[in-house]
Amino acid sequence: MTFKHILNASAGLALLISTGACSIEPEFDISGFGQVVGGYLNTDKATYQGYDDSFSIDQQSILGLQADVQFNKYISASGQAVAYASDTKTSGLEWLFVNITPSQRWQVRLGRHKTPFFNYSDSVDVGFTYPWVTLPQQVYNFYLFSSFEGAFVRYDIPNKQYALNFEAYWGSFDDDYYIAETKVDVEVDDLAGLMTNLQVNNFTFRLSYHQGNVNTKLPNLQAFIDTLYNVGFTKSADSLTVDGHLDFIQASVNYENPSYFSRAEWTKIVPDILVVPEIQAYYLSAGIYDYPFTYHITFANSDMKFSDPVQEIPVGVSPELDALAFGYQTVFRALDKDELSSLSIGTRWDWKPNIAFKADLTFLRGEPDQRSFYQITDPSFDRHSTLFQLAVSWVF
Amino acid sequence: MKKVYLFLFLLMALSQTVNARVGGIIVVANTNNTPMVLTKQEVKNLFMGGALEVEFQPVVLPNSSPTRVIFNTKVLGLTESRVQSYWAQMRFTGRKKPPTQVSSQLELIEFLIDTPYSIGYLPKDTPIPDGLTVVYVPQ
Repeated sequence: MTFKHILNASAGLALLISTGACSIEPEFDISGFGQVVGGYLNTDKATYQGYDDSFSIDQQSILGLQADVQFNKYISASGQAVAYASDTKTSGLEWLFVNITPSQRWQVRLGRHKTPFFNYSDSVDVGFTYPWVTLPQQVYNFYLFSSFEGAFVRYDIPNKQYALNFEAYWGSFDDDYYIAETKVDVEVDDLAGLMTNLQVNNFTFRLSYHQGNVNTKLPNLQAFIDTLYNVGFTKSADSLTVDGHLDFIQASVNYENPSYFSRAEWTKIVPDILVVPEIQAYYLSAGIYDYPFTYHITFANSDMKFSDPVQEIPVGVSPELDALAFGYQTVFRALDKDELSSLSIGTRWDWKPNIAFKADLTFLRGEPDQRSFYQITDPSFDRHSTLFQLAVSWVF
Repeated sequence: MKKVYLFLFLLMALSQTVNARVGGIIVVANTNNTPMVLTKQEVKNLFMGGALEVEFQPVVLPNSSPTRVIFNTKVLGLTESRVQSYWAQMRFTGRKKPPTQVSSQLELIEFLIDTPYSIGYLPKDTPIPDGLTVVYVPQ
């Protein structure tokens, strides 16, 4: 019996119990969120997050719908579907789970969830929840498995002087992604995480650790990998496979009062996969609340490094081996690096309790010999640009 | 005579609103006749979806209420927009649901009286009916 079967059986059982134990009519609740984001990049030599030198609103605009069904005091079910304007994201069901709350302290969820890696990872689609038009991309752009199927547990610890909770999850992920129009099957087993949130006075701290075993086949490389296996260079072949362990570490601290706020979040991703880089990223943000306006200034940065390639294929022995070694080195040289610094200034206007307008100006400074999150169309591009964004976000 | 009562009621409501505007609020609970005092952090935990040794059901006034603004500022330490975005994050990540919202102080008092272990906030000089307890007074 697989994890999925256990999960489905548990969810079914919970629903059965809830239906049987239901003393009142189920309560249905429909809510939703959305945002329309327009952006313009001041260069014709590259695009960034899909934005180019013409104003467009079809990159990050989103519409989401959530349904909650409360069966009784203890059991409910929730599902969320999201439609993306961008064709690089798959619209559809984001998550669906059965929610069991035996008390205010405990929450157990079974089903499909958004993966709560970082502060805003599981609310990334809900622009209304954060002050920026777009979350700092250096931190919030680096994971393919944004959801998982499994169990999630939360425990709140009552205390007179602070608020403390622990969250943990365990599950798996198996889905197809399109990377540059190539279909990639991503499998993650034993995806698990432990998070703690501490709120004391005006400070909020979050510390989390996540890990997973990734197995992904990159179709473009598979023929070359097979060749390496066939001629006995197994270490070299293994080093090109996306098959191994990933660790994620996150720490953040927020301070806020009714007049101003500061937020800082640091993340590190450590892979034992050669073709996946070690990534360290953070942002620092400070701002002023002048209700209904919020003003912020945010600096974000990402650093990444790849492990050294395997030195297994002898050079200078035969032209065939030289070609093989050259091909192997070429793969590593072609791996994209996304180091980028950015400085944003922006404002948010809470026009109504559920509607906010936002405007951000972001100065992007990438590295000359790297991709730096851009899609580069002109090699002479210096990786420096300015992004203008306007947005309206709402919830209902 | 009816007009006099109406005038007195309006005067009382106005004085409570003015009182709330200058910062006087109290946190009131139906403790099922159990004497109880809460800390500021405990009240904050309750209204932000956290847990307490005793399970309370929080109830809030509409966001147009000056009493709510004072509560947000003095107890939660947040602006109304941050309260809204916080609950959007809790709701749309499936974690917690926002407190029950009523449309008036009168409705809030009725809710507290009718619901054991419920908790809400009112202007400081509001007459407290039997069965309800003041559990926290912000400084």
